[in-house]
Amino acid sequence: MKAIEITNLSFSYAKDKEILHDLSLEIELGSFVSIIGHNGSGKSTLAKLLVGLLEANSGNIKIMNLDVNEKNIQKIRSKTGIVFQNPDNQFIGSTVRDDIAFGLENRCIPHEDMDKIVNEFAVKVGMIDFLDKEPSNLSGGQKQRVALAGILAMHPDILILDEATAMLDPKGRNEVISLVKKMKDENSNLTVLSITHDIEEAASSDRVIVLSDGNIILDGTPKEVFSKTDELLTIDLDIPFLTSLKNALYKKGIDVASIEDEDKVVEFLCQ
Amino acid sequence: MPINFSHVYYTYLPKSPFEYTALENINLGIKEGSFTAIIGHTGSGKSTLVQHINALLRPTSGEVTVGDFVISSSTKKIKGLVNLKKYAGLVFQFPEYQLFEETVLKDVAFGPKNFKENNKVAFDKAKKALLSVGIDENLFDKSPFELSGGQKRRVAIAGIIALEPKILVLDEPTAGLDPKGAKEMMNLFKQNNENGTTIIMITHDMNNVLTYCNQVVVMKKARVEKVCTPIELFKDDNILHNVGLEEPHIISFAKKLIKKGLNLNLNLIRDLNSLVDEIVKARKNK
Repeated sequence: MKAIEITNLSFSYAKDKEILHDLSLEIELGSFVSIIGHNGSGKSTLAKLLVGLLEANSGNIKIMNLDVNEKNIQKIRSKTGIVFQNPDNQFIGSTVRDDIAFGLENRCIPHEDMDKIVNEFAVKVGMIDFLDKEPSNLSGGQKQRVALAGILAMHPDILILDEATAMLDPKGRNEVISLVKKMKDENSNLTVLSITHDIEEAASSDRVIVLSDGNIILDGTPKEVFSKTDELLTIDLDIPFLTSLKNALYKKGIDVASIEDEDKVVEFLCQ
Repeated sequence: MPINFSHVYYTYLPKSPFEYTALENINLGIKEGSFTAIIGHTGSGKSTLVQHINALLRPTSGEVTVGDFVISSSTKKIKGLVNLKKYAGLVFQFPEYQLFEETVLKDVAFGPKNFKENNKVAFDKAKKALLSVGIDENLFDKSPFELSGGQKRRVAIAGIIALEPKILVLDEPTAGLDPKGAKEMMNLFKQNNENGTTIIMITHDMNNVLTYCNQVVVMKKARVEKVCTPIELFKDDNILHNVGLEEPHIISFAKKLIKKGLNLNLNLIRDLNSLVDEIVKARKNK
């Protein structure tokens, strides 16, 4: 079984402009996949189609072997968790504790268990000291960690992160990414789909898919994808630091293209 | 207009179970025309700090001065508060969520109109601001909600730029933008800064701090931990670690080269090109 199967998917908001065009894609159960692309490339639209927040014009999506349609949508939503870019749009509870508990309450988890689960995930995201605070008084990064705790507490099969770390500082971002990885280690069947601009974050996943104007233009391991410097630059995406440094040095007549390791480049330059 | 914080404290919801002190004894000066970064861990008080600059928040105690405007807990009515709001424009995180008008142009003209400009002047200012942020004329009559995320962000920022503020306060202006959009946005602020606007920017992006800013304010647990230049900050490994931030890759790479004996001048390195220039120069002099 695939976690996600998309066949010939097309979508447009208005008649004149197709956002996704005849897109087909399979995502393996238990994989950690990053989708990168410039603003307006169709990344977030794809995420919304996956959880049935938008309806496709044509084509088909299967989540955990279930067709995304009105009949299955509740089942599908119980298997998928999505964290959006702006946590302000997904807060429900009046305190951090209530907010993390909201999803559990909906699933009728007994009160004693709920308390334990809320505490467990508040610790995991580093928000245990804030359980009785109002979400509106938290900073952007703190809010996002709470949102993530609320989702992870429900043990979804598929976790979709729609630029969920964009608001976090580097330390906060690393914490969230290592938390997601830890969840994956504990449950090797957890599939993570991360929509991101962060090159380093994409580089830590198993597979990187590059979207441009609604089409998949690159798909492979981070190493394969990030070696296609020219393709990435023509669609205005960043490339990792070492690659852009090598390019800039080359223009000044210093050729270190064949040296892979950063420390070896340092050694070469200091000779 | 120089900005000065003197013994500023701010407490959210005082005398309630949710009481929370976000600023503690802030003393800080920001010179006219500077490009200042405010950095620090999430929850360190950065957003609370900048909201004092246009009196959106007033200190629980202490005093903030912005040019001739005085903002303190005791002043009930700030003289010329309307003008202060115009001089100091504040762009929140995700400003695109504040778009509301029928068309892009109307949305941007709302600010100037609100400050009693007549229709023609307001629309002229709106057009100028939109073009300066790279929004093309053929988008002016579209609904702002039809635009992409990056375009919406630009329209929202144009709404503030149309007020022609002397101080522009930005809270994470490039978060969520793709690399190209982020770079264009930063260059826009740089251009405004060169035209005399004081820029104060909350950011987690240390590359932006290195390339664009000339002063850095480091916040930690409601206090100002340090005020310095970007390069002074990146030379100090302790402070970065302390506030949970990482130096730009450009700087960590330059430091490695220096450690291995290449004689680079760290003060001259602001971006990839200046790093490469320094490497070339140092290798010639060897």
